[in-house]
Amino acid sequence: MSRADIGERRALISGIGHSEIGRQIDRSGFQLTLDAILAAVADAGLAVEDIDGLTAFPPGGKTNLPGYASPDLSEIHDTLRLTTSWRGGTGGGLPFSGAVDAVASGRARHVVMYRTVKEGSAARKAGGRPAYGSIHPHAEGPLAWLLPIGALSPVCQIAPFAARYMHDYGITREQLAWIPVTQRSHAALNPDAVYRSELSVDDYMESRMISTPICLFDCDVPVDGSTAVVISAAETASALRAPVHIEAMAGISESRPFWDQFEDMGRVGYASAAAMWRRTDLKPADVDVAQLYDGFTIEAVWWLEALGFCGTGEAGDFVDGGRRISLGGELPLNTWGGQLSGGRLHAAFGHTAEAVRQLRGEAKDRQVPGAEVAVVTCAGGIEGGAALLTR
Amino acid sequence: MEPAEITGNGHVYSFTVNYQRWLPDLEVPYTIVLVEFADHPGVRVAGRLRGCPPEATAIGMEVEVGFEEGPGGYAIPSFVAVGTAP
Repeated sequence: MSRADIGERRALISGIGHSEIGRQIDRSGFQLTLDAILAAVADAGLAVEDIDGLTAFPPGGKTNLPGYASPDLSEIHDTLRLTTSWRGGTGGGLPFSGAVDAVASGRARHVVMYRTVKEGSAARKAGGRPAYGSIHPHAEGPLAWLLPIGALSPVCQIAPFAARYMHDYGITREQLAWIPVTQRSHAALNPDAVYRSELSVDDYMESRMISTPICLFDCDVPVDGSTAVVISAAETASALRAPVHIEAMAGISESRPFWDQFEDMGRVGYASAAAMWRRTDLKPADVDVAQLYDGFTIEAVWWLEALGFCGTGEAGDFVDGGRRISLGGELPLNTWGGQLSGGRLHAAFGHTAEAVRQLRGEAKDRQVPGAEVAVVTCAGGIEGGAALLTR
Repeated sequence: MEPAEITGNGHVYSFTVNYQRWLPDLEVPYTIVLVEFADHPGVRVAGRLRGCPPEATAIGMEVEVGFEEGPGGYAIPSFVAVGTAP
């Protein structure tokens, strides 16, 4: 594949921004979204008038989880008085792949995308994390096979795959504890993270079980907050403050896309990772910092293996003791705290923002010295995407 | 295409024991199993496991399918470990 064929090299990540992030923020999702977008546009070195593309995750439509949906695209479009030549679309895999295609094809020059959650407030209102089906109490589509038996949350859906993986490879909870424990130590250095107090392996082992083998500290934290990212066409680089390059990206959906039918969820990222590596000369050893999707601990585990940082079934040993994945280690992992401690900003928006900060050298107390290559992944579960970003 | 009938016992691909009370009247803990059938590769059926304490559930155990009354008068799949009383 020649470099000219790699469309993502014609796109840059030019701006990142976020609203206030917390367990409960007394601003509407609409207000939080505008806070994030204005911050991201300024961060790019642009003005709102420069924006000619707009998209959001999820792309709209139905959701059956309170606080999950982002504000409507047309509301944001109207409030910012935009004129756009491209709207909507996420492209799958990573949420920004649609925006990358839009600027790479010349359809737009500067696309803003946002992800806004009010899941912290929703959990408070429900007296606990809400069940699937809370908005429309009907079991429809794929959920018709899951809700009636009590698989009422993504936790119950991914848990059997975590159990199977741990069973097949002899992985222990004591080993996997080092992911949330290490990420908490990173969150302590991030003033925007929601949980910053020390977490020990003992705390993890003693925490309450949610759905075996997944305990409380294996689950990301529902929050209120919005994150915005600006994707710009490469030819606009001279107008941008500190753009980051997209070296390679891929998002492959394979196997049956249902939580009960997926053949082996532990391998959900393998095809995306392999496709991403085929689009670059860089190798896993070249990666300086990893921002791997961690809706649950086990998803980050599977990404470590999918990306080739260790072999299949070896992630337990890789993370054991936390040394390799800490700041100062060979592969600092989720340096903002990840969704486990930083907050569930979702769809890799928090991960992408941190990768950009690291590559710019703007990560302050948690900066990985001289970081030049970062990997970002989105989701596990039934599909995934991966991107390699460079300074 | 038509629905295909699956008969006979299955084996537990994997399972989880749920402890979280997602709904106010939900009784916990309960075991959810993903069951595979040797003659029908590529298909799983998810259900509750009955007649077996959660801590005795194991990957690979043989189960037979049954049904229990679900919400709205529907029957939902529910498995019983072979060799245990339903």
